[in-house]
Amino acid sequence: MYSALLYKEWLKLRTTFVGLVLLSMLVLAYIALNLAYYNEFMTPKGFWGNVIFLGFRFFVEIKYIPLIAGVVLALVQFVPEMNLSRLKLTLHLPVEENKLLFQMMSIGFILLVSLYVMITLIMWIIVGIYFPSEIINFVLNPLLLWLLGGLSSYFLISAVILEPVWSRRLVMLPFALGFINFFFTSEDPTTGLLIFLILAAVFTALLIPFSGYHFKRGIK
Amino acid sequence: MLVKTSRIFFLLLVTFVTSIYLPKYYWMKFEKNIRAPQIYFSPVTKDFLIRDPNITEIIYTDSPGHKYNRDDFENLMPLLNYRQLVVDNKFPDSLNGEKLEIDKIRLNNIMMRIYPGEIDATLIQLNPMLESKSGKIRLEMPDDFFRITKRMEFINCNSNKIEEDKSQLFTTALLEKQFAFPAKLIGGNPTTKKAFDEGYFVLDSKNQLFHIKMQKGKPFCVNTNIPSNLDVAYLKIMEMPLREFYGFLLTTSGEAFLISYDRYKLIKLPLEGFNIKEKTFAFFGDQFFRTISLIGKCNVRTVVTDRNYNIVKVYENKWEGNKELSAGVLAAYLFPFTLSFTDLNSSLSNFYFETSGIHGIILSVLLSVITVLLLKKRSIKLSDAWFDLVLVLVTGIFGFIAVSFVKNVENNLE
Repeated sequence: MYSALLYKEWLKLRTTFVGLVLLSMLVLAYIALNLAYYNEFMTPKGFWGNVIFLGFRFFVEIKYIPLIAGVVLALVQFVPEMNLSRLKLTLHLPVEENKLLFQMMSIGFILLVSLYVMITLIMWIIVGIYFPSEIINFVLNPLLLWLLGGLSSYFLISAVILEPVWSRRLVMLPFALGFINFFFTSEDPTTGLLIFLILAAVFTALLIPFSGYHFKRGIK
Repeated sequence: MLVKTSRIFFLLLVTFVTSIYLPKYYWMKFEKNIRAPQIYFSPVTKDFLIRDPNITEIIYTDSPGHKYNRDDFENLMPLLNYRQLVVDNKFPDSLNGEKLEIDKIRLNNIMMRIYPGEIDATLIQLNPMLESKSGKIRLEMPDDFFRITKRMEFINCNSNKIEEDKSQLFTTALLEKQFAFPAKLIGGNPTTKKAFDEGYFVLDSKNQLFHIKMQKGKPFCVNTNIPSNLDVAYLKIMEMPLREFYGFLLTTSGEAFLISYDRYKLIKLPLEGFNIKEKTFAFFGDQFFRTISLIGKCNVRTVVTDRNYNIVKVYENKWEGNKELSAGVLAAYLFPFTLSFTDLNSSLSNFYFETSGIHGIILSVLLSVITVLLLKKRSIKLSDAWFDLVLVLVTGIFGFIAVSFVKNVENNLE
């Protein structure tokens, strides 16, 4: 059952996923080119100085890519289900509804995480060409927050889409956006806050059953 | 059960988001920019001159309450305003029996500020080691940056590789002086825009403070022998042609020292109530006096000392902050607490939580009563909605917003 669902979701998402991978590659390629450019024109020591003393964020172009990926994946996965009421059909399968929803989400989650791992590794490699570990950390720490924000946006936007009533969707949306915003505005979080944000990003998945419940029961 | 848990998470999310944004937007509208008074000490009258920057008109007041305009101020503070006085042909020949010379004034004028946000910050732990005895007037930025972890390593920026020979040279020099790796704190002034270079002051893992610099390519390394029981929190190093002290050393418990050029002897500054997490440290020195201020959010304490750091005069003042104004009083009733990810006194994101105390409870209780009525209207049993009630009671208006927006599930569960 799960493998069949997995295949169905993969058919639905593969084009989008490939598109998101390509988009990420393009942005990473741009950052790599920029790195080479700055290194040449600022001179290496000037470039290092700018990063170390002024906190120059030469990698900021990647910031909203995880968010775009999360939102687009949620839209592509769940909007058609809602419009064509296909989800109603799926939810009538002899499987517990929440299990089914989580299985569907798990596919989006796996795709998203693999994209994020790829972004992180490539970023690590291209920054590592020019910079030592201290500056790699300076890049990866904010990137981690943006990736968590992207993950959280996937779950939250999915929950908003699955909510059947427009008025309730409109209520959910600003809170969801406000929450996602934390990941993109928190600079340099302490370890405590970082752990909280990691947990928060994962636990936003738990909002899905609430929307799914409204959907299944057709609660107006 | 899962649906109920899911709903609780939704309630918590809404409460959390509102508890951050609602106070934030409220204060964006109502917060007044209340600036701390500027405090000067006149070497002419030997009295304070205070300016309130919240008034647009430039007026300075002394202790008896006399008012001075800008011209008077310049005459009373000739060492601070020497350039203006020279232009106006009003520069005095002597003061306090000492002849005044421009070069000497310039040499003796020292200004330095340390903000809490610069102490509570994460820095990239890479620093350039400048050549401090090149014989040239203009300092040059080197092609490598160093780190002090298990050993002292220099990383070349052109190749991004460790320079083995130089790293070995410095590590050996440090080990010879019993330096305990890794470094806990590195204080320096890594810029070429200064008159000369004094390198770095480095606290090792055994709380010994070392002075490290590079002279003609060779390491210069000295144990300053400061007491190791000082809980050093911050080092602010600044090369000054006066060469009286290298910089400032602040401890976690709020002591401030100068690291003097006299065999690194520490000079303790006579300060009281210095909370380095909340107060800005401002130091102004001239030919005759040192004016040291600790500036808090709603208070200031200024100590004036002579050149031997004996107290001459003290000034203290408090003023009303935003919390005491009507907007602040209202806020205390509206919000049982405020939560923020940012704080003016830190460069790090964290939970900055502040309760409003007893005032906030009134609205919380009132809203809890309304919640009971709301739940009745929704035909929900109170035993099923205990979480909603607790949430409103604890988080007041934030929880109430969540409960009003998020539908209950109990009446729909068969």
